[in-house]
Amino acid sequence: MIELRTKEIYRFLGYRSITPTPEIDERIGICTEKMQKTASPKCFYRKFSVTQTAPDITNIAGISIKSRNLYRNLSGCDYAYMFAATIGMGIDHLIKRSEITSMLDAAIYQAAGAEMIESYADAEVEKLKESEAQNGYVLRPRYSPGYGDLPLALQADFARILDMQKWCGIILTDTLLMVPSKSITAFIGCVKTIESPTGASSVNESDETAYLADVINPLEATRRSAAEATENQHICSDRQVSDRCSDSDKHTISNRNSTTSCTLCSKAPDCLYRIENT
Amino acid sequence: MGKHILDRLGKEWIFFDGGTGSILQSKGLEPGELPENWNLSHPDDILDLHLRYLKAGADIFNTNTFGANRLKFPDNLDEIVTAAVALAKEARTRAGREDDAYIALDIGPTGKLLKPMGDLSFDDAVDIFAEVVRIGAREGADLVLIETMNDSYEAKAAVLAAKENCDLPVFITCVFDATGKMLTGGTPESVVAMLEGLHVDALGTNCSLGPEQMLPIVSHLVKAAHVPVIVNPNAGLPKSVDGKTVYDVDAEEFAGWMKQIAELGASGLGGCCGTTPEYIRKEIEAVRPLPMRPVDNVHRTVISSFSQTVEIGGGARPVIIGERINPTGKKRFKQALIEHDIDYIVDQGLQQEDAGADVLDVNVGSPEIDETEMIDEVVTRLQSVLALPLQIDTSDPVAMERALRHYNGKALINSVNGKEEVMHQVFPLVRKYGGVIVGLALDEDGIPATADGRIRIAKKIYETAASYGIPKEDVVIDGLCMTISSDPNSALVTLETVRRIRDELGGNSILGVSNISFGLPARELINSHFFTMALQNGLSCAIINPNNEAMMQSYRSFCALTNQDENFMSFIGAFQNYKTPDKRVSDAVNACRSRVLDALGVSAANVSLSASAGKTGGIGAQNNVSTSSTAESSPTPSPGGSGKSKLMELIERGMAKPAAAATKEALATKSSLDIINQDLVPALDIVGQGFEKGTLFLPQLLMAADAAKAAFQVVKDSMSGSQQELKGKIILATVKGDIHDIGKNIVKVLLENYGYDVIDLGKDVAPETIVETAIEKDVKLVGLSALMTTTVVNMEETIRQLREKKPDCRIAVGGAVMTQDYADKIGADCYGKDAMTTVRYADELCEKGLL
Repeated sequence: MIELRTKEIYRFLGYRSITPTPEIDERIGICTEKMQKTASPKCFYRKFSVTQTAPDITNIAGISIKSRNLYRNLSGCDYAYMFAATIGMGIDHLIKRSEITSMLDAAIYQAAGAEMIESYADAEVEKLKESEAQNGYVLRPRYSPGYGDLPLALQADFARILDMQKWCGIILTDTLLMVPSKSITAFIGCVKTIESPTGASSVNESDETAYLADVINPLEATRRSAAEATENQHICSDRQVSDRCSDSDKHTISNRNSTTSCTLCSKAPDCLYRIENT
Repeated sequence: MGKHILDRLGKEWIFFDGGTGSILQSKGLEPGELPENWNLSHPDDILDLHLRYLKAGADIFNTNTFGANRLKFPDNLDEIVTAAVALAKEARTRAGREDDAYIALDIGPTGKLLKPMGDLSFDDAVDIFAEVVRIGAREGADLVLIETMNDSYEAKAAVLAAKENCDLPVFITCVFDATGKMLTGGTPESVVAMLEGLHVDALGTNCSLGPEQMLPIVSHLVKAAHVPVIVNPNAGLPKSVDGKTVYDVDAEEFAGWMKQIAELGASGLGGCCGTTPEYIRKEIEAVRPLPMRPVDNVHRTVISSFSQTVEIGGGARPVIIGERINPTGKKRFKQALIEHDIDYIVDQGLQQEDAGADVLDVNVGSPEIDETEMIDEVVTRLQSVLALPLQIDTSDPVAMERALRHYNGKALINSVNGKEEVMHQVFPLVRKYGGVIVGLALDEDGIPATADGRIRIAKKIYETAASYGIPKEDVVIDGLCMTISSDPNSALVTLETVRRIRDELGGNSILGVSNISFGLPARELINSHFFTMALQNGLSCAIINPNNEAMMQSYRSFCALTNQDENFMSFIGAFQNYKTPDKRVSDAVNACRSRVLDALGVSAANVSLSASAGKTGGIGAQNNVSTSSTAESSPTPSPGGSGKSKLMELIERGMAKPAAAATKEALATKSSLDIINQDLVPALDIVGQGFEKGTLFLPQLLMAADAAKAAFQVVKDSMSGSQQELKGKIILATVKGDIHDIGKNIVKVLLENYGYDVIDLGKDVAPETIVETAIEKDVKLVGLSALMTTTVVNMEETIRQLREKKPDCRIAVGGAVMTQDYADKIGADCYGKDAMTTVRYADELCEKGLL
């Protein structure tokens, strides 16, 4: 059983200081109960050493990645995990089914599914955190392909290096979406703790935001990679191609629910789910 | 060459080889590097790998072709596979094992997930596997080993490809997780049913788990299977140590577990990830001395879906087959077929599942449509949303073959009969794809009037089936139900036939029960009583309407009375809140009375009304009365006035079932169109405005939309047959490359509620398809959705093509990635910032007469 935070489900559903009606709470209850029964969470990770070279190049697991955001996220890290997690295909079946019978249920499954994979991944990372703490390391926040300027194309590398199909049952579509849809891939950096005189770690929580992604204009950012993905060169011929090899901004990371990062996104007010823009 | 592998497998222990990856990695293969390339770049290492397994004693060893397919090797697949088989042959010669070692053409998954969850079509998957099979067979492999399959549908594609492209034995092993399920939900029982139907020579499991965790899965497999079972576990569970994957079971321990697995009844044993020649050598030492236990499971009648099995006869409770997916005598269903309203058809399936059906009959034959295309689409859709096995019901062999080919499991097939011509058309399909076939007890001479005649035909059907290699348990005989109104003796003949199928032929029977009452009033009385009688006479499965209360009451009572309902769970579950018809009527009258009193502003407590007062019948159903369970209870005006009708309130509050009931009531006094315009749309508008203003949130809008949909369905049912007035046609599609379609589906439900004819092209739709449809159907508004930045370019391309080829068509775009700015940049006419915007835009165009 994966613990779900009701508030987060409300948030993914577009909660805006409106008290959900008892009917909706009841639907959420029924839906999440079905989800718990059908969930088959799996995760897999491998740890690699990390080296970085200016400007903005990170070398890990035999690949070199040019990304300012990842460079910043993993700066100072000796190692990083490549991490993949999923709650399984059952939730996708529930969503498909409810799209015929009830759009409300479909929306609830989407929202609660997003919360479920987040919560599961958090719990798994927490275990890593504890074991790394014994080695004197702390973990950076998870950083996923498709966020900021980190190319979504890296999903293919995750799939290959972690053998995601075998160990998690995660399979990529041609457009680099993960199936099951409620899945996550991420880098998780490990940085050596510097002991302060009090014995507390010098890395405090508020620093974490420094390692999160930039928000990038998706149309500009996507030009090149989309043209590559579709092998349709004329797509980008009429528009200036961005130098960055990036695919997507935070708002559009497709493999996690699209609303996952809505609160941090400039487009939040216009999003389908209209997440509160904090 | 010595003995053929099939002369040995199942009769003596057969040992497979072990892992490849970890050995090649120790020889320098990088993590993530494609090992198949080593057939060309490091042939000596591959040769050495084979030699070590052969020396360890493996009888069957795999070519290094696990990932060899055209998706991964578009340029040199032939070369890679040819080299792999040549290396295997060379190794076998060098090892001096030409007489007793067999080369398995190793086939792993494509790496893609099949539609509808993924983006690879079933037919493409078959093609991809076929290519590898042809090369491997040509080069001289001894058998095909399909392995590490974690999706039963892909497994079926691979087996079909092997069967259609070579004559070699076909073995297959699937991956189950610790809960005993495949990635897409398959169980050992469900895949055994499907794979044995496809006539694999051996089946089993490999990878993912260590031998210890595999024990329960192996137990299930050996209990279900009739062919030899193969087990190739990993060397325990994987752990990541310094970026390397290591396993927690050593060779000694592995061998101990494999001994247990052999004792359970598996007869083909090897290893998978993390195992080495040492593991295989120890395993052979441990297992070889054990006595073999040949497979001798009883043959049962089993059908399956991708994740469930249903047993027919053999002591299992009678099977309910839902009959509602069938246009016969159903105007609304015919209309859905003509309008290509697949959702309506699928919803019929979901309702029957909720009502207690075990299997769904699928019949979409109608002169107006292409049955082959339709049954293919309906079967594919149904199996993507529900897990009940299906009964493919068609008399067209072409439609039957298509449906069987794309069915994800072992189907029930309806039907064949005693006519020679029909048997020779249908049995080859049953033989090829597997399935349980319904045999109607009629032939060239028609339907025999006596049970004797029907039993004689049943025997003929069994015999002819056997000549095609179809065993008796895969045939179910339909004793035929003819209406008693034309022959008062017919029920008795049918019952006798059913009884004799069980007692004399030892077979299973099926009936389309409701035919019995044709032409009589109160048909459910005859049907439900006849149903009980047929069950008592041994009926194994019944094609009925599970939504009919009387039928399910008979069924559940029968099961409870005959000790076929453990602890009465099913009976109690269905009837714990049972009310007698009298009680139901008095409850309804009381509810109605309190509504009226409420509306009059009189508290029910202040009025002393005895229960008998309800029987005066002075108070009729008043559909315009507010239900006012809320605090404010104002008198409600008549329909058409400025206030809210009951229906409006129910929709606003998102109460689907009551809204449907209220619509039925309202139809007595109002026209369909008035209901749509005066109740449905205004109610949705109020909710929509609340959503737009931010006083309501998405779930509330969707609840209202669901309720409006239920109400709309009732209106549509009442109008079926008559021409419907629709505001205009709108195409909706999620653009190419994008498979997320919830946003699009929300907009669809809303547009339909507002009276638009939505042509839903689905997701991952090519620009060309959208343009062609727009031209063909002269559509003036297209709504496009994209949830990813990577697919916005395809949206832009779609718009470009539409502008060029259908200039009078407006385009609305939406999706999480969109903003007004981007919408403008790619040249859309409307940016659908939320679920309501597209509706408003369509209304605007409609008012201007542009739709």
